Amino acid sequence: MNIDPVGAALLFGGFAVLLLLRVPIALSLAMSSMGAALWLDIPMPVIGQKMVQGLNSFPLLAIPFFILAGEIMATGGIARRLIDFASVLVGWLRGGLAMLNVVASTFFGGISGSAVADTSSIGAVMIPMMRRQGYRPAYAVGVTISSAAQGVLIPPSHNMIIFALAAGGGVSIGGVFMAGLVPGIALGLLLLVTCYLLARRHNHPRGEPIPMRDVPRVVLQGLLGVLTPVIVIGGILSGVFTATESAAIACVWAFLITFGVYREVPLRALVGMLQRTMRTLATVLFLIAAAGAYGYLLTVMQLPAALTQWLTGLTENPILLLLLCNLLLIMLGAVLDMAPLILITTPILLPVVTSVGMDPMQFGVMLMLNLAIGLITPPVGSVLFVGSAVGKVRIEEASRGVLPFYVPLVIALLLVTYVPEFSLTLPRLLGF
Amino acid sequence: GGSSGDGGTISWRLAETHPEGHPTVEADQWFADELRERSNGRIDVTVYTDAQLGEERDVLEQIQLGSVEMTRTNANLVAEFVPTWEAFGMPYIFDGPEHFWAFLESEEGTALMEDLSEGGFTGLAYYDSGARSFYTTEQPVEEPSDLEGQNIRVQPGSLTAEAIEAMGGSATAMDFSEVYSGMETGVIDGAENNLPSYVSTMHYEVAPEIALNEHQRVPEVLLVGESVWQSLSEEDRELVREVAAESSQKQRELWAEETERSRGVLEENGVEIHEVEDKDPFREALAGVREAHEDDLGEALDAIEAARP
Amino acid sequence: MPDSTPPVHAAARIYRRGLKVLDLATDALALTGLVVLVLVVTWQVFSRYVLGSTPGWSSETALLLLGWIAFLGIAKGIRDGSHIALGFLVDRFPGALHAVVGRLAPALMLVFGVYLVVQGSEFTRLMANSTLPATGLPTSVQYAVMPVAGVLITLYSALQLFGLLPQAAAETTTGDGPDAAGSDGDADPDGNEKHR
Ligand code: NA
Ligand code: NA
Repeated sequence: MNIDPVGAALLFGGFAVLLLLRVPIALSLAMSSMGAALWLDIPMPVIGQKMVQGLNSFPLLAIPFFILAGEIMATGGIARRLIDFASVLVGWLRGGLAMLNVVASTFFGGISGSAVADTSSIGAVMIPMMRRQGYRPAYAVGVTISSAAQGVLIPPSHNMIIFALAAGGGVSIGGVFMAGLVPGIALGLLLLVTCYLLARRHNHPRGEPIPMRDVPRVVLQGLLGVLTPVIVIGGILSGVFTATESAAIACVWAFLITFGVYREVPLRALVGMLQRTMRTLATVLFLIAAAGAYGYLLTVMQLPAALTQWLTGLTENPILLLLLCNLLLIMLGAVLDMAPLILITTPILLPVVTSVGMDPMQFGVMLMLNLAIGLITPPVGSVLFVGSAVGKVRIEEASRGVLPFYVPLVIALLLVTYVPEFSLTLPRLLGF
Repeated sequence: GGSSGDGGTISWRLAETHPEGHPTVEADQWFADELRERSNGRIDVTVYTDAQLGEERDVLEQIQLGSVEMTRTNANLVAEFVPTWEAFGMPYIFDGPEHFWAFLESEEGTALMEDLSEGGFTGLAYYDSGARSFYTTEQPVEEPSDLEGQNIRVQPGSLTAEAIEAMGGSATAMDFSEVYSGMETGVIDGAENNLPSYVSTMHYEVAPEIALNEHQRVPEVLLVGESVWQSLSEEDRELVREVAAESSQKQRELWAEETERSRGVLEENGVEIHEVEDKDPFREALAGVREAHEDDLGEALDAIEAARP
Repeated sequence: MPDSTPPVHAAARIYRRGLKVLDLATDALALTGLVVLVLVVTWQVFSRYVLGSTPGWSSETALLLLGWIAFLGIAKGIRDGSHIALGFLVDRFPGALHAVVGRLAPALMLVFGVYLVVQGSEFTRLMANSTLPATGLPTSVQYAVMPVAGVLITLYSALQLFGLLPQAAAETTTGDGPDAAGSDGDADPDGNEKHR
């Protein structure tokens, strides 16, 4: 394979330089693609064409819906009721509020799939509560953001849709969703154990139990929210709608319980929800579009194949190779964000891991977990940033608060990487 | 990349959506290898498989633009750029493979190939993609009335949708990526495709009832961008045409083998193929659809009729 | 008191009004698109159950809307400062250099905008002769978003480059969405500036 060195330098180097000079990530992708296209004498309109085509993919339709559903839930009262609901389950234990934080995120993650939405909504309620009860602020932020990582594993998750897309259509979205469920719940349990052990060691306060007479109301109201993932997954499995359509249904459901049942925000609040959805959506879609052009140039220059060949040539030992992939992803995840990383690394790493027999669905879960860890890891971590802003602590402090939680996160990552059954049993049982 | 004229090496990108190992891809590759050899390495075609450069429609746009030089594509997609090609979407216009090839090799078939220049393409050779049939989760479609109450996935905008509705079924446009799970969970009751695709997509696992009603034969075509073609010398054009024509023969053989192999795979997996001996009930049920398109497709359809061997 | 305002102020007011109209128009188009998108896909599910078949136009229309929303969103993102970038290196630059480098992003965005207008309209014209499979609309409808969004992107980034539009801090935040739930001011990721 003969690689054009100048083209490759423009594509990789140009991207890196622009990125470091604070040019928006998506724009850096588009500009470095244009540079390479100019050099290679490829007609320039193809960059725009590939950006439009990058968005012309049916599964992508689920992304606006899941983001909008998450937005409605976060600000329309569902998130708060999920916290009350989780409080009935674990709130009265020693270290109860920390555990409550984890369980609330398990439910919330199962709905929105957005770690940032989880941190800013659950965190905004939980961190002040924890501080009032005497938890160290750094710990409160630490538990908030590490438990938010569950959201990208527990279906539905729009990042998994981006992955299925980047994998080139050979991976079923429903399959990846199911593959993430067991690891996501297991991660939640591991985080709970960590909270419990830390609570014993540092003598964290017990939570206050919800008065018995309030329990039925709290459970009933919480269930309406908890039902969302049940409707989404149940609807897909029973053939009522497809995985993509389920996202629209989740939106409609969230809308109906927020504005029809809870009614704590007026209908005009929907405009703000749409505004914020649009803002998130625009950044994600710009990235996907630009990655469409970038990926095209990578392909034309046959770079993914060369990189894959190089990576697989490093070692033949599958254990080492997978370890290498994990290290690479964690390092990249520490500086770059989820969506661009999924789009850039999938075409390169997927052939590497499948060459040692890993199932693409399992790789999807591994990728998600790695990048989720990146979201809470300095120097650049959006969830870390949002968490420290919500908790009003410095980023360095928040990073120290996360430290103990790397133990459960890494245990989960190793399980996902080296025990295929951990992720694959459920999707296989369901026929994906 | 790009192509350059006199004397220098000509590099073309051939965009293909099928995966490696597919008979059509093998024919593409054979074309590339043979052309490289016979031109003494001067014409260098690289085959990009698996839709790496884009899906078929996307690639046709790129050919118009000039960022991709060659592709193998389906007649249904060509029709969105060259309206005369829409006729191939009409069900039951060919009696069988002999009629199909007799038409393609007739003067009208050649004329249709020349129409490609309307879209800025130059056609080189027709490829085979067999016949499409319905497969369903429970009730096989052995006669038109079997479609009643069945929800069948169709390609968006295809005449197949009209045909299914005319026979009492429901047509559902659904993205290809969702068809497998759609049939598994029951969102839809079936779909339609040729035998090799039925096998390679594993759709037989969830929709094991296939009846060979063979409602459509849609040709595929190997084409090159017109401006790229114009930049070639007369001898090179001759050579490319010659190799393309031979690759077509090669592809038809490979396709036939693949179809046989697919039957074998289905047998091994316990899928019973329902043969449909008499296709006239289908033809009769669809007479109205054909009439409805008399104005726009009549001429082409008459030519196809006339080519019956 | 119509004549008491100096002409400069009047110009500034017209400019601000014009900008507001532009913002509102972009917003209205994008948000309406988003709502229609939800409705189209919900209709798709509904019609399959109630009418027994799925219309061919629904998914193609939804995808067209998605493309339009995305490109309008790129323009809107300049205005909102929501395009994510890495600031950790540039933030350590000395003042003067920091200011120069700060111009790079709007300058490149301007190049991108002009590209979309020029090359985008050329490509849109090229695509006028083919049709989309399900709706039968000309393919140009899909690509016209390039020149249209291009005009907005060019305008916003030029204003930003020449200091006529506040450059909202697009910080080291996420594609996951800084505002995915940022209704409460506390969740504003820009708050990080204080900590650095
Ligand atoms: Na949490
Ligand atoms: Na990070």
